[in-house]
Amino acid sequence: MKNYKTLNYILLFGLAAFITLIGCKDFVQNIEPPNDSTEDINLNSEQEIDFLMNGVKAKFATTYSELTCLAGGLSDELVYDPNFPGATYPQYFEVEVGIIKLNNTSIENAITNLGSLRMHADTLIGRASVITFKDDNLRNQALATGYIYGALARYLWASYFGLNENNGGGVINSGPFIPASAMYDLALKYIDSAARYSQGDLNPVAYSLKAKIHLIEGRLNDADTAAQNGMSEIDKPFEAKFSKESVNFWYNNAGKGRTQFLLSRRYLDYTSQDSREIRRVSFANTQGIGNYIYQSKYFEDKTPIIVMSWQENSLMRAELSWREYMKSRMESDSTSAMTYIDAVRASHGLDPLAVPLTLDEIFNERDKELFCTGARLIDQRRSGKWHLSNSAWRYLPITEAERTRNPNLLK
Amino acid sequence: MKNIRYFLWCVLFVTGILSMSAQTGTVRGTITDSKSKEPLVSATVYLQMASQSTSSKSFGKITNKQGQFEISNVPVGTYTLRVTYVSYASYLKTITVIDQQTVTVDVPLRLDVKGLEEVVITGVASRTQKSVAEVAVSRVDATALSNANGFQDVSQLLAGKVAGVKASSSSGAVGMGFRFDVRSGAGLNGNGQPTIFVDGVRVASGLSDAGTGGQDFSDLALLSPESIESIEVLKGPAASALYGTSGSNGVVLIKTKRALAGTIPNSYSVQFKTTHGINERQNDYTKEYSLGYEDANRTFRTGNISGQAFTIAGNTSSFNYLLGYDRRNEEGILSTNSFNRDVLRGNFSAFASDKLTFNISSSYGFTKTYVPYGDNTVFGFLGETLNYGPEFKIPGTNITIGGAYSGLDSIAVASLVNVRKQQSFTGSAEVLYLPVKELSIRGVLGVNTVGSFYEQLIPAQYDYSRYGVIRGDVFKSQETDNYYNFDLSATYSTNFSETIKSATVAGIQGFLSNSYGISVEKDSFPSTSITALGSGNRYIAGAEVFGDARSAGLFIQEEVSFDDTYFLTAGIRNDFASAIGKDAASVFYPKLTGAVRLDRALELPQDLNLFKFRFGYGASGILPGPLDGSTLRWGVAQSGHGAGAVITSQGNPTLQPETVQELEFGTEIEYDNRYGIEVTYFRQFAANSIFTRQQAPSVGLPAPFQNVGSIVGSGIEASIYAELFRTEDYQLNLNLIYNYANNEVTDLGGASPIINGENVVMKGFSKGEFVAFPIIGALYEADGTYRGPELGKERVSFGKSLAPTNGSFSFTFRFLKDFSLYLLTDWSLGGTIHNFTRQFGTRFGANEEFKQLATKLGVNLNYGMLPDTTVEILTKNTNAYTQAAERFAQLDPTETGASDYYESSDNFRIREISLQYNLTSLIESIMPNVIKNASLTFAARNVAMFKTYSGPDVEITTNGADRSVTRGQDFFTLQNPRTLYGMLSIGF
Repeated sequence: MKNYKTLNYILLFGLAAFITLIGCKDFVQNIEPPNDSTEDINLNSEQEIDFLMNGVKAKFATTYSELTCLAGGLSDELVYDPNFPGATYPQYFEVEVGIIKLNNTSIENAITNLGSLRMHADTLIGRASVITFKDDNLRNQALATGYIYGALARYLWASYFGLNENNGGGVINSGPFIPASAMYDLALKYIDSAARYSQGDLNPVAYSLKAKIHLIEGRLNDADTAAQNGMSEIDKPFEAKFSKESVNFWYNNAGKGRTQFLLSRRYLDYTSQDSREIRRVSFANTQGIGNYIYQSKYFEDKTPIIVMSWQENSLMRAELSWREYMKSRMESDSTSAMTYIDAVRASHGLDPLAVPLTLDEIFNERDKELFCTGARLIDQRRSGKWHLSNSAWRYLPITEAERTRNPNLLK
Repeated sequence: MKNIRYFLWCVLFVTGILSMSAQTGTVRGTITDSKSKEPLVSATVYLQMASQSTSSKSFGKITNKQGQFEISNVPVGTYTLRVTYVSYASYLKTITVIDQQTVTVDVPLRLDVKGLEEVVITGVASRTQKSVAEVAVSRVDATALSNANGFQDVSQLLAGKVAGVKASSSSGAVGMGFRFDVRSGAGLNGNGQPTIFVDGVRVASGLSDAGTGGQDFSDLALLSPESIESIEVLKGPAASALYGTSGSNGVVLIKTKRALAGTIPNSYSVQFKTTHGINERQNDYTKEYSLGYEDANRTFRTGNISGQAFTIAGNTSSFNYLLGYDRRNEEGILSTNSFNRDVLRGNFSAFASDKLTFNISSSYGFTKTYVPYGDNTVFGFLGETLNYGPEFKIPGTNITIGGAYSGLDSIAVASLVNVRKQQSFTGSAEVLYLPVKELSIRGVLGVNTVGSFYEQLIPAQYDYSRYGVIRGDVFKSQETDNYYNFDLSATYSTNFSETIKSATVAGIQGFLSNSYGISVEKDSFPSTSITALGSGNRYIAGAEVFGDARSAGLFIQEEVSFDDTYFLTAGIRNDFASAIGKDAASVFYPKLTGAVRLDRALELPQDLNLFKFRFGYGASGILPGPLDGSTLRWGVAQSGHGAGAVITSQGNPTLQPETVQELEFGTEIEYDNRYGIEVTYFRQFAANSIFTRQQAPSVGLPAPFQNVGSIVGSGIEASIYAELFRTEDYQLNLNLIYNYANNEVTDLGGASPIINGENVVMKGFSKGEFVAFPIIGALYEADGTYRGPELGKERVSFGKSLAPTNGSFSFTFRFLKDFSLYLLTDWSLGGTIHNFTRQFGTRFGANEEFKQLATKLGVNLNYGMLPDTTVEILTKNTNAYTQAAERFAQLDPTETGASDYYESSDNFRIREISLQYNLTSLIESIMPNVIKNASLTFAARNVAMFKTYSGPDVEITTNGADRSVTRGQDFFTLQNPRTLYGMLSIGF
């Protein structure tokens, strides 16, 4: 009797175990999904396109502010002084002196963000190309967004990174090294595609960006052609925008938020010549600590960065006119150049330029107008006004992570 | 008169009848030591009716000074006599009580110093005596330790007491997290921490970022050592295989105090304990460590400790209970650090019948922890002192630079507030059902719910503008974490023959966890005295966290023994988890263990009471992260353009857990019940390790997870114990533990190594080893000026962040009958610590040698330093210049391969010491029968440390108890304090 009772209990338990075994997998899979992320497949619809476009723009803003600030540190625009109490990031000192290790974590972070920006832009292009849209305008807008930011990503590779101290260029998707010229060409193609889909909105911006690239590459005629169709005074600036959750890198690394990088004291010369230049070359004194100054152009953590403006387009036209003048010696070119310079100055309430115009003066005007936008490093390379030793890096190095993990880099 | 006589005869008659119906007898005897024949005082003698019916009465007594007991008026019947005494094996005998007769039972108790006859846990549903256990089991008698010492947290209870397990705090901040290191660390994944059960409840044992630099809050801070009765540790898959993916780093089973079953029935006891003491700085900072040492040494205080514990425990024949309350208030050695804990506990056991038992455990705890900033942050005292050299004036100006608190005023540092308030409920309900003699069924339901509130305040009245804080900044967060677990198992025991016994166990375990939290940050507070979030003018950030995970497993196990001499156990578990990739199958974990009692199998001297050989094999696993098995996931990034979609992770739906297998062999020998040695060799193999195959940044995607990689570990654990002598007045017990453990990454499957600064996970090195490109010399410019350090082409090791060898030695010496001296020492050898405090401070003028060499080489301005006027500039291209340059290269402040900053962490420490006076006899002689026990103790912790390291403490790491690769780094990390305290304990 007892044995039967025992057997009954065992059989009952075994049945319960069998039922449980069947239900185990369902039990563990029956969890609530996370509410802060979603699977890729859920974004394949027209309703998600605005969300995806904003993501690309957010990536660009983060990347652009970080890169241009590091570029400012490498140029003669910003200074890292270890004696300054707020300067506690030793990797910035490497950037300051141009002796940069390949495992510099700040540059590592910037290069990772740039790779991510390029990937997000290209993914948007790919997704917008396959989703079925009811609204064709939205589709075109998505493609234009993908292409323009994809172009900017390639532009940033070419302008700010290099394989060695004097060779600029970048990498796309673990491929071979693409020298700066070829990378700029890719950017130009993307800009053309952006213009094609933008239905006019981006066109002036696109042409100004093209002009900028052509000018960097020394293709003066192409630059001039593009600049003529570029941004004018009626066009709002093309900006990288920030928010409380995603702050401007300049503010927290070279500004009021936290001052790791200080501003070079040579900018005091501009304001001593004309105090109204503070409207362009905005800086403030650090309180109670030595004789240091920092940029205050980005006076709030969400102050946007101007990526392209009519003023920059005008300065490009001024330079192009002047360079043409230096070849042709035609007064009309000299006058044009001056006109463009003065228009930019007037937009800040400044008097026309009172000194004779030279190429150096044009670069000085660019130094002031494009203050803390990442332009100075490129201009130093173009103008030959390099402030560090010949062995120093003139680009931010492609870091160790890319070199060790990309077998195609040097093929 | 006649009526009175009649009445008296009636009374006599009734009394006679009544006395005839209440038939009783007496049980008496003497309890002695079986060897020395000495009487054992205060041994517990307990009588229980053999039928164990709830209606039966239970009897008990304590032996007197002659070891004698007498229990009278015992109703006739058959009883089980049980005798228990500390450090002796329990004694059981069946006796029969006859009317009007006395049963005399003289009991010789056998010494059992190591508790070999105690039942220990050897697996998920296995309990057996230690003498026949097939795996290495370690058991800590927490009650005995707490009687002799006071402990702040569980790590202090375990430190130096368990072979193969190291529990160490990561800094001297009170109330913060600690880290377990079990054997060789099992696999490459996971956090390397064992799963912890408290009374059958799987408890939260994670960490929360304190936002103050490196250290983290620990959920285990809620666990009061005063509540703990014992801790058992299963150290690896050989023992914990049937726990599934919960068991790869071992399992820690904590049992809280309960009223002892089987003691004096219908009685209760009250215990009160009070503790008072101080925390003080253990070691001074030195000039060799940092030129800011004097300012750093001035920052410390003496912190006060106060604690009280109150317990009432009692039992009836059918119900046991224990109610307790303990509190601890402790101040750290920095002014911004303190810890308060209050815990209420209630444990109940009910014996519904001889077949059905209920056990309920519950505790409700509160903690409040104020945390100092530290570890790589300019907001901390150590960062603002050790990071800088002395203040100096720039010649020709009134400008001073350098010096302590260059970045932040000391009052501003002291005014920063970080506080976490936590409350937790832990409860379990256990049912034990024996429907028939051979079958037992056990079910447990456990719940652990933790609510945390965290506040970080940067006050408005001080200037933090240099760090971007405008008029005050307040961050607040609230989070709730819930853990639920259930266990159901059945054990069927039978005898195939007189000599062959079998036990079959089958069961199921399940675990659910979910968490939810929100946080908000604002600044620009108009008032310095109001910090409610609503009064902040500027919104900074808000976030939400959410998590949900489940796991379950079925297991079956068969245990067979022959002649109580040969033992074999085989088992298997099928595991399921939500973290395993959706396309991956469930996982199987096998187990095979065995043991042989050679002292029974062979003709050996009788005094050799234990000679056991055991072996074990088991497999377990480490789960992937909750979303690692998912495919590409997108989250949200904010910007001025609005919220946008960005890729956050790239998962792998075929992802499986990392598999950890363990093989162990061991032997245990005990002689004369008082001298013993236990040695275990183990080897761990982990494969299918989950790695992100790190991609080039240009790809732009997060690295996907893959099952690649493997690591092998091995080691030896040994413990020697001896009771050299024991008399009524004197006793000496010794204990020695030796551990050696090492591991090596054998394969990464093509994935890139993980490099966290100096700590790496790289093929050919141990996990977390210091590996970097070494500085092999100096480089020079064309004119001979020093240019920088020259690095070697291949990475080399700078040492192991976790010392492979460690051990402890302790003794307990009882003298003059009532005095007891306890000493615990421990050591570790073969490890390295990275003095990043010194390296980082080098660039800010805190390293005198570096400053002088920079001046001599004429490169001081390259490092932003003014020249050291006490030295002269050397001429380039001379021997003196070259020598200085070669030395200067080794001091480079930015290179991970600068060998000068890696120092030996070898140390010997006097860890704990206590002197206790047992006041019981003294008080008994003055006021008899008032108290049960009383003791006065003076004790100290971290008494002294002997080391070669230039810093004050080797047992610290900058990222706290964080279980990442980074460890063994000292980066403005607070040293552990020396603790001095006294305790008074009284029992009624």
